Amino acid sequence: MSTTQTLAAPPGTGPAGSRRRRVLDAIGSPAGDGRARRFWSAAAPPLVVLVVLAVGWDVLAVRSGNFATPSVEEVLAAVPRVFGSAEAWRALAVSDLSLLLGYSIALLIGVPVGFLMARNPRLDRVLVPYLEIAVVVPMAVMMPVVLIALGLNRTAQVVVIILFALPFITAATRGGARTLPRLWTEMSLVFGAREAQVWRHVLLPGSIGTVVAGLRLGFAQALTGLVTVELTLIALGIGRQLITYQSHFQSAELFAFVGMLMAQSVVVMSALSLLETRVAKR
Amino acid sequence: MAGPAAVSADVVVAPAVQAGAAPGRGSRGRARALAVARRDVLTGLVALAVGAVVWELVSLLVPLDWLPRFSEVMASTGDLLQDPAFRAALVESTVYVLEGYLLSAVIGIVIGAAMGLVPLVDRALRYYLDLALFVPPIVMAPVFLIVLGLSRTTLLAIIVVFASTVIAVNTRTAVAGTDEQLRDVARSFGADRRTVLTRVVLPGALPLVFVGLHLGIARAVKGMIIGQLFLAVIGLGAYSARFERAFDAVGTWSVAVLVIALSLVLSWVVKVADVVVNDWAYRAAGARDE
Amino acid sequence: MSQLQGGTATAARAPEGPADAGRVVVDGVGKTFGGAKARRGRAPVAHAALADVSLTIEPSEFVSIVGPSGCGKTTLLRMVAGLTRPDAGRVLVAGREVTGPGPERSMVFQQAGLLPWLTVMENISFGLRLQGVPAARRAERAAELVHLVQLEGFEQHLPGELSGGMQQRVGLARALAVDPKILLMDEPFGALDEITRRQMQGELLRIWAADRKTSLFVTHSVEEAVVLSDRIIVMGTKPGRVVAEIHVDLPRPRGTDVEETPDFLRLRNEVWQWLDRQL
Repeated sequence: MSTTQTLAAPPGTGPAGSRRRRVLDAIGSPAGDGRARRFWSAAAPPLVVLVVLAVGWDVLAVRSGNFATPSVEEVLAAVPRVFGSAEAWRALAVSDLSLLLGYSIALLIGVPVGFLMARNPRLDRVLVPYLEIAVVVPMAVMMPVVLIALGLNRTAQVVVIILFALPFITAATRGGARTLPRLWTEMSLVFGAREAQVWRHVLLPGSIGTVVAGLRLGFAQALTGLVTVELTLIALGIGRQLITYQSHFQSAELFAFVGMLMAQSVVVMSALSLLETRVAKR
Repeated sequence: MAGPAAVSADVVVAPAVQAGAAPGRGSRGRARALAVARRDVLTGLVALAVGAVVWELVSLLVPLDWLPRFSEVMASTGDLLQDPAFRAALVESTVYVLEGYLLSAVIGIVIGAAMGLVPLVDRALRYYLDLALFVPPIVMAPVFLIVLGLSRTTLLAIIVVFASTVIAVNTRTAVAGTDEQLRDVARSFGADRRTVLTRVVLPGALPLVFVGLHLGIARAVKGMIIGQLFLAVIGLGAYSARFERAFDAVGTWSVAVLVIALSLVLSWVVKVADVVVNDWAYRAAGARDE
Repeated sequence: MSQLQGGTATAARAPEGPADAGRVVVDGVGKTFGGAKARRGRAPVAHAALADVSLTIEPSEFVSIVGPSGCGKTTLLRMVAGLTRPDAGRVLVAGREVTGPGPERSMVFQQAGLLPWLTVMENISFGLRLQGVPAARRAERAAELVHLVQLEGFEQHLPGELSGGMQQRVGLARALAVDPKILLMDEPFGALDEITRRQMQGELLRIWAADRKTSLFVTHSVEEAVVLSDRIIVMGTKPGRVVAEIHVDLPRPRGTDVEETPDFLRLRNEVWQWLDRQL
């Protein structure tokens, strides 16, 4: 769920809103179209922050930072170069393959286990302490072990990604299935449902919403796992690309490439977010 | 009032993590809340003990070069802790976590509260917060490395990026979600804005803020170890990298065990603090158990 | 005329013919909660929800159970449904001991318990679906019941689009769709407002009159019990037990206007007298 809650006072009203109105009136903007004002009062603040950050960057970071720090203009100029570079896309694809594999396997294991834990109290009691621990503990610390066991290859990467994502997917699925009203399962039992039927007719359809929420959480964790392992130990795709940029002192390109990673992340998460809202509409 | 509600995608995990809820009244309620927190910690310890036993048996029966015996790992950990250089690294890493966490808590709470209280600030920062939640914080590491070089500040920056977002989101929801009715009640008794804030908004928001703080400490430790692995020259991360390069399984496991212990201990400390500060919220939630 | 029974003994009878298919016998049933397992942070406190409860429901009889909170009436109902096992004694339906839910018993819940992603038709045919009834027959039966509960026009609606009273009608239709011998109802109108409640009571009287299914109805409301039932069981607390059985000899078919008759008032006062002694 994103931070897009509406707060008590609608935009444009209240002390801040009236101050804005006074400013707008002072600079002589047309007080007519309320829609335009609403648009600006929503869009202006983040844009202002963006501008401030960009200016601040150019002034502070470039001046007092490392000599390699690129300015905003340099990064913007590098963006089309990087986004047009086949090499960069190939690096992304290589990493994305591990991501997809690891994420899918984590889903295939985590979702059923989460459901089983929600449905079976004894199993739940046994596994829950481990689940809690797995969620709190930094999985990154297990990476060297995985490396020693499997070597510097894609398999090790995929295992690391699974380790990162699995606990969260299991916990989210379990949490969601547990909030399923007991009434529904009891009702189905009264009408003669056998265990398999309870799953098919109540548990699964009823939990779809929370499973999808878990999908998003799991993806964020899987991505963290991927980037972590690429940046620290096994540089096959994006890790290698970043090293290339770094060793060639192409810091503007490096920043642009990081921007590319962020963009991919935003796209996938937004898509999953959309899926979540559509499923929740039921 | 029900117990703290979960909010961001990250926080969906909170219900699974916060299993404890204590019924009771007055000081007995606080004692019970502590008893429940203690009981959850104990369950965790028992689970770990069982895990250790299973580990020992499995590694005895199935010799794997990457899975040394639990007893071996424990012995090695003991040896490492005797080594003053290692102890220094452990202390250094813990200090980083605490420093980074404190910074994150301050930054997160301030930003979250500002967003929750002032609609203009919320409109201004909302997209950036969403972005920060959508994007894994680790991707900022190369950026920090370039701008700040190989320094303390880089590692602290990484930890702050890891932990502050989750704290900010939860604080924002906590502050913004104050029951309008309660605010009206206070104002009807003549409370001014500041009193409403300190007497109504703040105490009501604390449970959910603590959810953020609880999640934040775990992320601070993650930020520390990932940052240190990335930078590979300081603290425990350096040791880990060194062991890994030397294919020293025992050493690698030792560091892992210590980091895990560190994160669990810190997490439990925050949980106990949460239960003590917010026992009123847990008392009500305990009624659900009946 | 009403009969008062202070006692609880009603012997169980051996299974007889098909006429017995709708008979429920509760024989010396007891249930204790919270004895073995301690609650979080609390000392273990055993709580006798039911102690030595016996009663018989004859085929085609409409029996209500009234009592204060904690008298175990819902527990008793759940035992007949097969959702809870008694710690002592047994429940017999058609001469056979109840060990779990079964096709001859169905239930209407206080919170309706409709699955929010199924339409009205799909909810009504839920039990039939579980029994493997083919789709054509299900649709037929569901259409019959939609007509019976007067929800024509709402077949494709989702529960979220219905009012509380309409949801309860769907719940009732669902319970009737499987053609049970015994109909169990757990305060089905408890969550509704007064006006809707009265309306639903009238509906239930009408629907029941058509089929006369053996029914066990749990309620908080004395008036409701008298309006609907042939017999009222009054229960007491600490421990949960039968305190009185009152025969309601108001003539059938009935409507909710029966509340204005002197006989109704007399019966209502009688039940209240028994309840007052418990409070």
